[in-house]
Amino acid sequence: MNSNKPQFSFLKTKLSIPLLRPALVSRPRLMKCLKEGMARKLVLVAAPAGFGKTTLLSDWAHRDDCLVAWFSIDRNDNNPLLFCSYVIAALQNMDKNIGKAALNMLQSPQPPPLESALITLINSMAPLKHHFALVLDDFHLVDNGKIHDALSFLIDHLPEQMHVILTTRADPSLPLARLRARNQLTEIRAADLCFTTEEIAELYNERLRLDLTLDDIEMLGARTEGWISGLQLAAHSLRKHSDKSGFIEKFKGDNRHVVDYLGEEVLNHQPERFQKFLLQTSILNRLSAPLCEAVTRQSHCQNLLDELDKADLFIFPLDSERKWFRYHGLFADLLHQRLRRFHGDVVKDLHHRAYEWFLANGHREEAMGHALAAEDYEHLAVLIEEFADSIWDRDMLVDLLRWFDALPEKTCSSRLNILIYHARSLNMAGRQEEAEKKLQAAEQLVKSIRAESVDVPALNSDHPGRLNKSEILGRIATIRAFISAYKGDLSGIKHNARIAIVSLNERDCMWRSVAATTLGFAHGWSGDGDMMSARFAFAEAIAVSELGGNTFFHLFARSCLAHVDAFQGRLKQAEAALRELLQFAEDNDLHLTGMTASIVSSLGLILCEKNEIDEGAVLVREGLGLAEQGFDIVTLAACKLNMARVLFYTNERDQALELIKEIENMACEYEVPPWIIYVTSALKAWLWLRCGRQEDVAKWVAEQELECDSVINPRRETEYVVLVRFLMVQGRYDEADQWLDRLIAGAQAGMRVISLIQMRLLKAQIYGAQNKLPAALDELRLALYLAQPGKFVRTFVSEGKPVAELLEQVINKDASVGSESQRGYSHAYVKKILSAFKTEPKSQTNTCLNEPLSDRELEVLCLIAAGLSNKEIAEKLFVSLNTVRTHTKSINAKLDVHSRTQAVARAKELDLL
Amino acid sequence: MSKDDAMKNHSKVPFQYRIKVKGCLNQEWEHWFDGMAISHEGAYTSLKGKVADQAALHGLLDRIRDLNLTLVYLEHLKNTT
Repeated sequence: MNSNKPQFSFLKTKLSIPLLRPALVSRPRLMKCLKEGMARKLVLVAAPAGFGKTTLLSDWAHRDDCLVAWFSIDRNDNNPLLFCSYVIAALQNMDKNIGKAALNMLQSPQPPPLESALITLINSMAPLKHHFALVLDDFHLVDNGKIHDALSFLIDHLPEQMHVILTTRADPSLPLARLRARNQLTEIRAADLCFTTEEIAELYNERLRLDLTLDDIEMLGARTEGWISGLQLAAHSLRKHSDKSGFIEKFKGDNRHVVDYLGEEVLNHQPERFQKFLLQTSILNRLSAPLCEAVTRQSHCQNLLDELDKADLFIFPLDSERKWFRYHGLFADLLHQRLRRFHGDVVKDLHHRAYEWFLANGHREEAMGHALAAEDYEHLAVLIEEFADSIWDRDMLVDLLRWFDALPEKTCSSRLNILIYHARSLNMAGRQEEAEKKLQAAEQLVKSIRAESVDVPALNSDHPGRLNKSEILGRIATIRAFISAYKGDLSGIKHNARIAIVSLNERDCMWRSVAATTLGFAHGWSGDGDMMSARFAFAEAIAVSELGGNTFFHLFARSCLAHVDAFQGRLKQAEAALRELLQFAEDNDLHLTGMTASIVSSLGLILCEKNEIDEGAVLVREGLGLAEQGFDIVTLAACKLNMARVLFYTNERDQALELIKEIENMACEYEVPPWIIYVTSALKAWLWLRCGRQEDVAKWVAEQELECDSVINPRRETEYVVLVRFLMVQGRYDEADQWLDRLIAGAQAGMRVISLIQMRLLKAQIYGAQNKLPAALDELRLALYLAQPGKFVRTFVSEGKPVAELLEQVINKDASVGSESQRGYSHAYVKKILSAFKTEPKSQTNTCLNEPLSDRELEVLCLIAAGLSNKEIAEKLFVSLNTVRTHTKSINAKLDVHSRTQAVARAKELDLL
Repeated sequence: MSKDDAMKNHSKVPFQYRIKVKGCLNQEWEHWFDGMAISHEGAYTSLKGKVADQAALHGLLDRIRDLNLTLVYLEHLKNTT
C-alpha cells in the first residue's frame, strides 16, 4: 500500500538565505543591535518598502556564526497549515531532525489544532545546544489571524536557544507591548535603517567609486532621507551623468517622489531591449530565463538577466545557482504601473503566456494565479478542479474558496465539478445553505443533460476516465452525507451515504471511502448501534481505500472495524487488528496522529477486559497522553473516558469521578459527541452506586428522564443498564427484569455482544436474589457462552460477589455434564474468571469517602469506638436517643457497613478516628 | 426590495476619500490607484476619488505603503452621488 502523496512541496528558494548583494556597506551599529537581539525572544525589523531590511538580515546571517533558519514569505502563504509547514521546513534546513513529527501532523488528512503541532515542534527543539534564529521575511504579507495566534503561541513558549526575527512593513498584531515591557523585544525601525552620511559616503565613494564631495553626499542624503532604495537609484543615475554635481542639484530641486524621478531616469537610460524586457516580465513574481523567453518571446534572456544581476539593477537572485530571480518590490510596482499605463492591452496576453509556461512545467498554483490575471476563466476552472479533487482537509478546502470566488458566475454554474467542489468547500466553511444551493444547481444541471454520459472528467488518478450521470449524483450524495454528519442528522447520513455508495463509480475510491466511513458512523456506536450494518460500511471503506491507496482512510476504517469487532464480542480479532495497525503506523511514521491515541487506548481497554489490568492501564494512560497533546477533542474525550473506566476497575473512584468531571467540562465548551456524554454519565452513576450514593443516583435517573422513555434509544443503553442496577439495589427486581427484557431485545437486534453479556449477568443476579436458582444459572450459561470466544473476564469480575457465587454453583451443577459443547462453556474459562475474582483487592468498598461524615457524625463515631452504647451517647451529647439512631444510620450508609463493629473497623481503615 | 438587498446596497455605495501624501507623484500613477485623481499641493500629492468600500480603502493604503510614501492625511468626504 503506497503512502499518501505529500500535500505541499516546498519551494526551495523561499527557504534559502538570500545571496549577498554586491557593494555592501558594513553597518556595525545595526549588527550590534542584532547581536543584542539574540539575547531576547523577538527582533522586529519594521520599515516601509525599500529600506534594506532583507539585505541587512541576509548580510548578518552570512556573517555571524549564528545558525539561521530562513523563510521568505509571499502572498500565497496566508494559509495557517502552509505557513507552519514552511516554518518547520525552514528549521529543518538548519537541522534536519527538527519537527519531523510536527510536519507529519500538519500534513496528515486530519491535522490537529495548530498549537499541538507547535508543541511537538517546540519539544523537538529542546535538545538543540546552539542558539539559532528563525527569520520570517516580509511578515506583513500574512494577515490571517490564525497565523498571528500561532506565532504568538510560539513566541510565548520559545525555547531558550531560539530567537525569532521578523521583517515587516507594518507592525504585526503580536503582543509587542508585553514583550517590550519584559525586555524581550529588540526593534530596528526605519529611523535606524536610514543611511547616515558616513554610510552613504562609504557606499558611494568606497564601494561604487563615484567620487562625490561631502556636500554632494549630504545633499543626496537629505533629498532621499537616507532611504537606501532611493540612494541606489541615484547611484545608477549618477553613473550615466558626467556632471554629477549638476545632476544632484537638479535632483535636489525636484519635488517628485524619488522612485518616480529616479526610476524613470534609470529606466529611460536603459537600452530599448532592456526596457521592453523589464516591462514585459514585470508581471512575474519570479523570473527565470526559460520563463522569460516564453513570456517575452525573445531569446537570450539568460544574458539579459545576468547583466541586470551584475548591475545589481532591479532584480536579485533567489538561489545560489542564479537561475531564478525576483524584482525588488518598488521597481516591480513602477514597472507594472508603466506597463498598465502604456501597454495595457498586452497585459492579459503576457499573463496567458506565463500561465502556459507554469502549467507546462508543473507549477500549478502559479499557473492558476496567471490564469486568473489573464481572465482566462475556463482554464482556471480546469486547474481548480484538478487541484480540488485531491483535497479533503478542512482548512485547505476553506482556502479553496478564494479561487471559487474569483470565478465568474457563468463559469461556476456551467461546470458540474466546480459546483460540486464549491459545495464541498462551502460546507467545510460552515455555509451549509449555500452548499445546498450549489448541490441543487448541480442536480438540475445533471437532469438537463440529455446524453447518458456527462462529459465530466473524473480527474482522480485512481479513476482516469469520465463520470456518468449516476456517478455524479453519487458525489453529490456524498457531500450531502457529509453535511448531514455535521448536523448530526443520522437518517440524512444513512439516506445519502447509501445513495452514494450505490451510485459512485467503483474506482472513485476517495469519495467512496468518505461515504462509507460516514455511513459506518451513522450505524455504529455513535449512531443507532446497529453493529452489523456498521460492519458492512466499514468493510466497504476498507476495501475501497485500499484500492485507492489512501493510507489514512484505510487505517481509520480498519480501526473503526476493530471497534465494531470489540462490540460484537470478537475481542481476539479486535486486539490483533489494533496491534497490526499500531505497527503499521509506527513503520510509516504516522505514530503521532490522533488516530494512534485512540488505537492505543482501545487496545489497553481490551487488555483490561482480559484482566491484564497492569499492561492495559499502561496503554490506556499512554493513549491519553498522546491525545492530550492537543489533538482532536473527540479523541481526547474518548481517551479520558477509557481512563475513567480503568480507574473504575482499579477502584480508584475519586480519580475516576474527577476525570468524568473533566469530560463534562469539555462537553460544555466543545462539541463532544452524544455517545461519549451518555457513556460517561452512565459510568458516573455506576460509580455513585458503588459508593452507596443512592440518592444521587435516584436524582440522576429522574434528571435523565430514563423511566419516561417509551422507546429505548440505543445510544443510551449504558445508562439504562445503570438504571437496572439501581432498581436492583433497591430490591425492585421485577421492574429491573422488565427493563432487561427490552434492553436485551435491542442489544440482540444490534448485535452488541458486550452489552448482552452484561445484561445476562444482571438477569442472573436478579433470579439469584429471587431464589430462582435454575433460571439464574441458565442466564449465567448464556453469558458464558457469549463471552468465552472473546475471553471476557472483567465484565464478570465487575459484577462482584453474587456472580462469583453463581459461577461456583454452575461449575458444581455442570460437573457431570460431559462435553464443552453441551455445557456451552469450558471449565478452564470459568476457573480463569474465578481466579480473577480471587486476585481482586479484598475490600469491595470505598477506598475513601465520597460523602464525608459531618462533624456531629464524627463525634458519634468516636463515642461508638470508645465503646459507648447509643443511650450513653445520647446522654453525653445532650440529644435524644432517636437522634443518635439517625446519626448511626447515616454513618453506616456513608461507610457502607451494617454494624457498629464494622463501622469502627472501616473508620480506622479510612483514618477517620 | 428586501431588507437584505437594502443592506447590500448600503455597503456598496462608494465613498469619496481624499488622501494626502508627502512628495509629488506623477499623474501616471492614477491608473495604479484605481482611477483616483492625482493633484499636487506644494510638496504634497493629493489622491481623491471614489473608494468602493473599506476593503478597497485598505488596499489603497497598502499600495501607498508599498511605494514608501509618507501618509499625511486621510479624509472621508461627504457623498456627492
